[in-house]
Amino acid sequence: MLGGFCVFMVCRFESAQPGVTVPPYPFSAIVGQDDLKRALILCAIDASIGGVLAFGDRGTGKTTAIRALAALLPPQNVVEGCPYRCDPAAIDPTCPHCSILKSHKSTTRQAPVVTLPLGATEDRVLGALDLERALVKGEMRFEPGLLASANRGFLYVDEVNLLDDHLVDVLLDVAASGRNTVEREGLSIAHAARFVLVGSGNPEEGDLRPQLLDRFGVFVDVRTPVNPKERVQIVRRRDAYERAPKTFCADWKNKDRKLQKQIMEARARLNEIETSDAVLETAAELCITLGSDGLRGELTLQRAARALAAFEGETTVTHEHLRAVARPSLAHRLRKDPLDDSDASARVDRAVSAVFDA
Amino acid sequence: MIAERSAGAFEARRAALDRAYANGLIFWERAELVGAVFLVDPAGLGGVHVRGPVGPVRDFWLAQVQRLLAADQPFVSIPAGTPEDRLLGGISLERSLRTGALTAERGLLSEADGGIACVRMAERLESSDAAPIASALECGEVHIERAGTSRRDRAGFGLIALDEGEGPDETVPANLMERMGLSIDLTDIPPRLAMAFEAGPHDIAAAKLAYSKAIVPDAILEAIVHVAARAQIGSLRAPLFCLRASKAIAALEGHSEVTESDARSACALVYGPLVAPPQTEEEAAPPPPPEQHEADRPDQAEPLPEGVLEEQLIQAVQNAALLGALQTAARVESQRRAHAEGRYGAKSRGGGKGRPDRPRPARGRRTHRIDLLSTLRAAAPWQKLRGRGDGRLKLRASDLNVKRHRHRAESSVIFVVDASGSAALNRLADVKGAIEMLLSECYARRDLVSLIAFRDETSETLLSPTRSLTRVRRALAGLPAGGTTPLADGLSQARGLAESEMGRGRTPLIVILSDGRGNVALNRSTDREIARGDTDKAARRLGASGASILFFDTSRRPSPGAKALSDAMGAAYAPLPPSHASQAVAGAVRNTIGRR
Repeated sequence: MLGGFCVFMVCRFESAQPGVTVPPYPFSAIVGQDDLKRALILCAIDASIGGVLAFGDRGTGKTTAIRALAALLPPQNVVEGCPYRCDPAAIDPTCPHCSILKSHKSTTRQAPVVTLPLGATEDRVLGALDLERALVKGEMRFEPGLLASANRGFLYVDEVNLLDDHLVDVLLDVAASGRNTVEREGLSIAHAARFVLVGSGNPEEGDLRPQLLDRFGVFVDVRTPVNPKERVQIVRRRDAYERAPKTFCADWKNKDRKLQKQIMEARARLNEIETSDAVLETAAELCITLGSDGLRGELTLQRAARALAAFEGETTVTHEHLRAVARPSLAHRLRKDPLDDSDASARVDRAVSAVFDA
Repeated sequence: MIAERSAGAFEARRAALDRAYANGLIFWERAELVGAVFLVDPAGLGGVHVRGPVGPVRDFWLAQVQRLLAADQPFVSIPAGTPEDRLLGGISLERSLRTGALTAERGLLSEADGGIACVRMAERLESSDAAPIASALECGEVHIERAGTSRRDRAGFGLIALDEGEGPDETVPANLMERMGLSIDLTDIPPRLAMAFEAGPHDIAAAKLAYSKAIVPDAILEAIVHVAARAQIGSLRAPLFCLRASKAIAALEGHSEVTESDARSACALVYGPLVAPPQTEEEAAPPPPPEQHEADRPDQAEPLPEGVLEEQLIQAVQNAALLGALQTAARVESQRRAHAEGRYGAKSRGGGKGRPDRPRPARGRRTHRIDLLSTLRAAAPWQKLRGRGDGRLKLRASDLNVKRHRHRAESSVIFVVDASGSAALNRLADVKGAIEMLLSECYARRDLVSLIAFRDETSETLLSPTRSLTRVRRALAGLPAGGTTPLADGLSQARGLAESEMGRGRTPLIVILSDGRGNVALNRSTDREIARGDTDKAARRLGASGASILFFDTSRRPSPGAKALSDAMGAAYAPLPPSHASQAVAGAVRNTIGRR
């Protein structure tokens, strides 16, 4: 998944073991969970949508879907040896690695999906002084952290509601600004850190602070599937995967490839997609009807609808696209009374039918 | 409550089961089967939740499991309070200092790869402590990013979680429970019945081979999945565990294909502990309506297919659940007695408690432990300047960093609600309103909230301490009301919960909403005199527990009796105002918490 990164970071330790050899469960083999899958695909097409928060029942395959995503992301060109994964076509002028080199060699790498484990410390997330070098050679050198590895990719936090508050603050701050600035231990360094933040969690473990909810672009309420056929299908496929993971993945490879190609084409076309004034007005009207705070909801709504249009091969954004992305883009932004029991999704649906069917 | 329901409801079946239950034989046989099934695929089955006190039976079961392990299968014991870096791995200070280069070492979870990790006192884990273990179970690897280390280690293990919890509230965190497929209860098995497992290591080895090739007929797979849905088990991990268990049982039995009887045993093992025991006709409340999204689930209308096999499996699950309920019922009763006799838990707290926080420069703080890693980190850049001639590290006072333990005393608000008939008629709506108002306050402060309600004959902890508003709301909405007022029982239950919270290092605040007219004694008699005596005694005991208490009198007019009771427990007393009740309560609680 992040093979390159792991080797780079881990090879110095003598007892390090190679990563897990079982290939991850293929994305296209996931049964159901269409909302989550679509949200991830849309963010893979347009990173500026601003991340996915998947909240809901246990044992619904949230983690499986996000792990599978890595195989779908189109490969990208990076400067060889750059720990910040600079794009050779647009080198970050402040990059601590590339800015001091005269020539850059380009290489193709898989886009990163970096997992932030619970219990991660700030020095490994942001990056810190390379301790070994400092001790042995007396050199001040910055050792990049997870935010550097996640640049131009995805950063996944499972059980985000259990993450320490100060780390969540750091993550959201960097995710919003796209830059990671480190001022510690006599170091002063900044580098690009543009990534799609994906969080998942279970509300029974504790709610997420309301001000954090709104910072995620789209919100997916993940529910246990209730259709018996679907449930049997899920268990059957999982059984087949466990029996022979390699064969299973080989069987689904073509479907995954097709999906990846679709994402690449959608990305390329994204800027040509037109959004008519009428659609923009409807989007605004929807946000006003719902009384969602700020412009973030409206922007997300527009971008998600545009990415969906691109994914479906259309050239213009229609009302149908808006309708399809309204719930994930807006449901978590409604002004929330902690005691209000009425379902936010239902409120969005009502507003959608009021605006569209008027 | 539980004792009442299960004993009363299943009189007929109970007679048949009584003898088997009395000698605990069934439970040991079940524990043996669970042990063998688990060993066939420890990582695939996730783990075994072992409920029961420390003692010869538990030790024996663990010894039997270890006896059946293959030579290359590790068994790693993880004591309570193991620090995270030992659990997950990280920089080894000892080796780093010896070799002069940073050396990382594997953690205990990774050392258990291919075998079994056994967590002791798992009921003491917080869900945030359990999360890394849960994540290792999920991914089969340990991934750490901390204190200068970044590594991934293979960690495909099965977990044994030893749970010594008392009472239904004290148990392993849900995020860990969810990832363990099997569960046994050793509490009531007498030591003489614990016999050596029939299977030997070679049997397990043979079963492992057969397991990987075992075939599950489609009809059985479907039945296994459907039964989970019918037993109201939502998570899809459960049917997967059940499927694996059925294959393991088939392999142990020497079947190349999973038979119906294998599936039956597997359903009983995996689903049995997850479902509530079956109920009799008049008791069976209508299942709670699915809460939301009714509209966007058109497929829900489709009825679950029902077949003969499925009926058999459901029956197996229900029998298993019934057995479990009988076991719990006996336990609750004996605990109630123990509690009535009065028992104070240890409340001492060791130093350095709390979660480790970021280290801080020492600056004259002499009482803290030094954090070596961050001290090194601070000293490292200056070594050249300070001239390291003799190869020794040059440390200055300014480099010293100390360990800090974050110990923000968390507040845990315990609501004790009078849901008896008199209260229900008068003020229950007001009381609910007051609690809801308070909840938004707690939500902002991120306090823990729990809910005890008392009515009829006993009190019940409707909600053990949680931060989840969703759950609080649900419990409050479904609060039943009516009946007599077992105030004494409510108070002693509140004391138990408050003490258990103090044991966890939290600061409990008990909010009692009642009219103070307890009319049921601890032994459930309705003799007024005994009831009053018990209530008074329970109040004084509660006062002695050291928790802060707020007493809201919910009578129509403030009553001297309630005031006297409140004084007996050393509580702050306030009548619940008729309207705008909510603001008054919230204000009072806010002040009490704020003062601390």
